[in-house]
Amino acid sequence: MINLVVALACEAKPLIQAYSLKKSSTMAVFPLYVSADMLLIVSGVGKINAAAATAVLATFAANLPTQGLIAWLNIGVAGHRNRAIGDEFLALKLVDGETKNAYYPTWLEKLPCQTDNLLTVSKAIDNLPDDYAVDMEASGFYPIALKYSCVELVHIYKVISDNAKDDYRNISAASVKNLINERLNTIKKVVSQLVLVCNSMNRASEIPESYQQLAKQYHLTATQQAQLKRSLLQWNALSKDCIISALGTAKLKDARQLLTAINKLLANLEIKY
Amino acid sequence: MIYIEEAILDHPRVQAICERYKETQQIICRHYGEIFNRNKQNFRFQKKNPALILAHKQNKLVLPAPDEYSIGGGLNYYFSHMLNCIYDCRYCFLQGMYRSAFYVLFVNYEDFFSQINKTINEQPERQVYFFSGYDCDSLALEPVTGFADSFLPLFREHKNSVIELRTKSVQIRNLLRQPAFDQCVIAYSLSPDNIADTLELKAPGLDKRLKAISQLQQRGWNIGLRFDPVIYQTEFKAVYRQFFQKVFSTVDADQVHSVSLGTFRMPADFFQKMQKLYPQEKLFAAPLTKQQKQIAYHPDIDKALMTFCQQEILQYIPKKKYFPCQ
Repeated sequence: MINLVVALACEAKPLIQAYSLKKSSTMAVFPLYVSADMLLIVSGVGKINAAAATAVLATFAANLPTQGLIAWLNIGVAGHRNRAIGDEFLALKLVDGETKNAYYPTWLEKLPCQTDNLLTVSKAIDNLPDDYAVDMEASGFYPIALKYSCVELVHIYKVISDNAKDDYRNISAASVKNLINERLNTIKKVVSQLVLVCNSMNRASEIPESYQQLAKQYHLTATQQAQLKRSLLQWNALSKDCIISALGTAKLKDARQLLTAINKLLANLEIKY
Repeated sequence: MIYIEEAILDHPRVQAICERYKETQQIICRHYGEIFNRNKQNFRFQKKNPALILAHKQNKLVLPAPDEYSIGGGLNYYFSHMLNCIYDCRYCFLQGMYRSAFYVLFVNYEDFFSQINKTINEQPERQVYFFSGYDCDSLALEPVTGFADSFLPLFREHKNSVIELRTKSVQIRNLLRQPAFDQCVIAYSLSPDNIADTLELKAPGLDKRLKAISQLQQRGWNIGLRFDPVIYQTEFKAVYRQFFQKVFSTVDADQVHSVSLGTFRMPADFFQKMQKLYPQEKLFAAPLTKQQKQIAYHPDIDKALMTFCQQEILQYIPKKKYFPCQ
């Protein structure tokens, strides 16, 4: 599962088309587009809008049946003094122009494109710095998305829309749409790599299948739920057999008897490396 | 990826490492903690592709060592020129202690030298022991860090000091090139083959470590053997008996400086984090109990492991060289 945050409708359009996203009618404040494994929200310009839309999207996602971690990606355009228009990059260092807070998104896989530093400003600037690309949303998006995910799964991808020779006043909705459209191949790579890492992380902390089955059969308190999960993970670590079969047909009255029976079975397992 | 603190960009060690890894992406940061100490990091996944952070250690360069480090000396200290390890041992407490799996290398060796010198000179009448290799492996990154090459001359000068380099590494070229000296102990952590293969990921296998020990002994280096942690398995007696036979058939027991023994144990809060990282890990599914903020094997199992291994070890070395850790 991945959540995309974009500032403008013209940035969103190519993505909506590429991922066959459908407009959701549940959201009035920020336009929201959905598919089974992707959500996209259009935040509007500026870091406050980006932060608000990110929080709204997180709340929306939390109410979906999907469980586990979600990857987050802010896609948009940025200015850079020297980079050519159409250049693309992942931000591996992000600085907020006002607070000077710095963030360091961590990309774990092979980089799908170039990287750069990114500075988020509140108002468009004429004098672009030498060593940073400049945008208006990322530092609003990043710390909020991070509250709902982890540093390995929250990223920022930007396409250069203006530079020292061709400044931001010349940007149009059509040119932005084109820039994103032309970079869809890389965006798809970024998205699929992020989703891959996200899925691996979720698999690594998956609750054993047998848990759902047993939880349906027995009434478990919150403590017993935790104990059962722990015992089933221990069982899976030490045995290839199915716990349900190992428990056999023994009549267990309640959750307490179930946990005792599992712990007895665990105690008899061989530990072998 | 290499993160570099902006204040040390011109440091010769930083420049040498950047030159060595020219192609690697470099990112400037203010302080290594901005990356290393962040919340919401996944140690397990970072371990697959860890970055290097080059930093300057400001204070607490040399610290008093816990009593259980002792190998017979009076005053014990430890220091860490690096945080985290290139190996991925499933029982390692670093997984529970740090939020990040990235390697931090403190490049201001000279500040460590001053602090070590000061510590030694404050106690001229006493033997002062220094331990390296608890927050990292002392030798594993030697070609990059030049740690042993840089630090050993200092201890060579001070006859009242002893340095223990704790390692699983076979990066011993620098050691073999220089004469051994009495005040240095190369302490190898060793485990049976089946444990080394399944729990000491990315570390050299037992045979390679034994070969390195043998080469070092032939050049006169003091060797410490660290059987810590001993890992419980149903057939532990057969496994560990065979293991000790193998170790002491290769290692010259007469030339062994010290042997320590300890079972798997861990501060409970570290253990909880490690269990979350690897919920299906066999090691954590063993019969473990919590006692006074510490996770350890059930007392009966712990006692059986210690008693058995101790008996086996003492067949090969005299008691004065044996140091149990509990």
